[in-house]
Amino acid sequence: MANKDVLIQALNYEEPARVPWVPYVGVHGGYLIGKDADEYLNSAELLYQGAMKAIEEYRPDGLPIAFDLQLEAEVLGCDLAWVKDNPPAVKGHVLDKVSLSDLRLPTEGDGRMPLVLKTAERLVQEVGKDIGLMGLVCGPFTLGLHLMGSKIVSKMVKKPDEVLEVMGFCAKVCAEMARMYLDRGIEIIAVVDPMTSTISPKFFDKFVVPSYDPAIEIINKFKAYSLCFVCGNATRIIPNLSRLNMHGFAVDENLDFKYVAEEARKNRKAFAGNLPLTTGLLFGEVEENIQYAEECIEIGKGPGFILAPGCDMPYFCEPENVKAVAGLVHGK
Amino acid sequence: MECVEKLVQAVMEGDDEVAAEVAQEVVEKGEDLQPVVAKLTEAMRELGKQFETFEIFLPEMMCSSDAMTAAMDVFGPKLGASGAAKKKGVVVIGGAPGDMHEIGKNIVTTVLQSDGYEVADLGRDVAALEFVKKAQELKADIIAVSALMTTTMPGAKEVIRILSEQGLREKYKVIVGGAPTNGKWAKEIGADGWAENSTDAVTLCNNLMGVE
Repeated sequence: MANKDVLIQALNYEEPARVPWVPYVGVHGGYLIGKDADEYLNSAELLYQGAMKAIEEYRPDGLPIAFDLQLEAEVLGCDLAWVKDNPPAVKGHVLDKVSLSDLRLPTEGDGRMPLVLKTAERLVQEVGKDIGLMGLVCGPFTLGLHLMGSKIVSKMVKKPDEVLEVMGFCAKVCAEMARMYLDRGIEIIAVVDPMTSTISPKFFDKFVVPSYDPAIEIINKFKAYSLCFVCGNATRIIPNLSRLNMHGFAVDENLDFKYVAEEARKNRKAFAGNLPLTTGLLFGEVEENIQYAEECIEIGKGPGFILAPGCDMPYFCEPENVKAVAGLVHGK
Repeated sequence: MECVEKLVQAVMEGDDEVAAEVAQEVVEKGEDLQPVVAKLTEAMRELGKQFETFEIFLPEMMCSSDAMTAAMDVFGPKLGASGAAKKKGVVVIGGAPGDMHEIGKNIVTTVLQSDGYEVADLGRDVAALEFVKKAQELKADIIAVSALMTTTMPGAKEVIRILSEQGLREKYKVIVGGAPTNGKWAKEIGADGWAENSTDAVTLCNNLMGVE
């Protein structure tokens, strides 16, 4: 039985043979191989090495190719600030400089797309049969924030048509990015939209849900799996996430995981979470992390549950903590 | 509808254009501005409570904050020093050095303003010394440092170090927040408090200022 089989069982809302385990190794992959985050996220070879090291150390059932929500924004013209121990951050919003009609959909040759896609191809070829590889795409709302800045938030009230137009474009970017991964044999697409926790269920349904449709359509066309990732206290939109036409969703430690499990199971959806990142994997002790994982498993166990950290693992995450969780999952 | 009621409604509904227009009418009618500002502040506090209980969300809160600002911009010159005296306190807030994130900090800013604080938002990636300089310039009560990355968290400690070095530590309360931070760490670096979210930030500031 391949490791990824338990993950696929969870995504199909079946009772997995054991708890599926997906450590979100992003820039932490750089730490694992002794490389700075900026160098790591700019090299296909290093992304590959980091992923392979994570597979060796953490024995995952699923793994992201690259956890960088700024990839698409950078291609579209946003300025990034690079640091050595975190993913880059958007420091300049492109729609402050140009209009939406000036933007073009990203292509496979733009920016850092080639190196991420090359990494995807290589990992699919080498470990794809055993590991559920995840293509992470920046969610339309979070991409909209990158493009427009925080004024997109107030414009949802003041100029909803303008926001819907931006979201429409971001939806196309999201679908195109998903297609690029799917073309390379990636089987799971995660639409990562952390900022949706700041808006109401009503606005989520109005502005965000339709923007997922193009990506969902292409994911379904490839008969692949879909997940939606959120961050922060997303309590109010959990029922909406559960109703999405996706296979499941992922949350972080800022909400009640029991409630998440209940809502996900109402609609037979997979749900991933919610190991604490800062207090646990980053600063916690091994014993604490085992305890956190046991608590998550106790709450989540059963169909659809995937054990995962709340979000992208910090660069300096303590490997012994992650290994301890892997040990718990694998029974050794 | 009376002008003042219309103004409160514009703020509650987050309509900054109407708020500015009606505020101008209020000024032209020669209304006593202090009770008007008190009503607006009360309205913003109510919105803050609704935000806390998820009755409203960030878009609505930001619009109401914009509307409040629009009204206060009209009142500003007429209010004078007595207007400023109505504030609960002055907070200097910013993103830690090297930290480019600002949405969380912006939420805290909006909610603190809605609760009656004067907030000077220095933006993101603020040098530690800038926090101190601005606090002195504005005679602030509280310095709030937001860090969204584990690597920028030490910037808050640097602010505290500079304050201590300059003999100013007792003059300001220093509070910290941001996703990777926690109360234990805040205590370790010698901060006066830590808030998990915007609502907690208001409670923390009120406790530190001894107000409700």
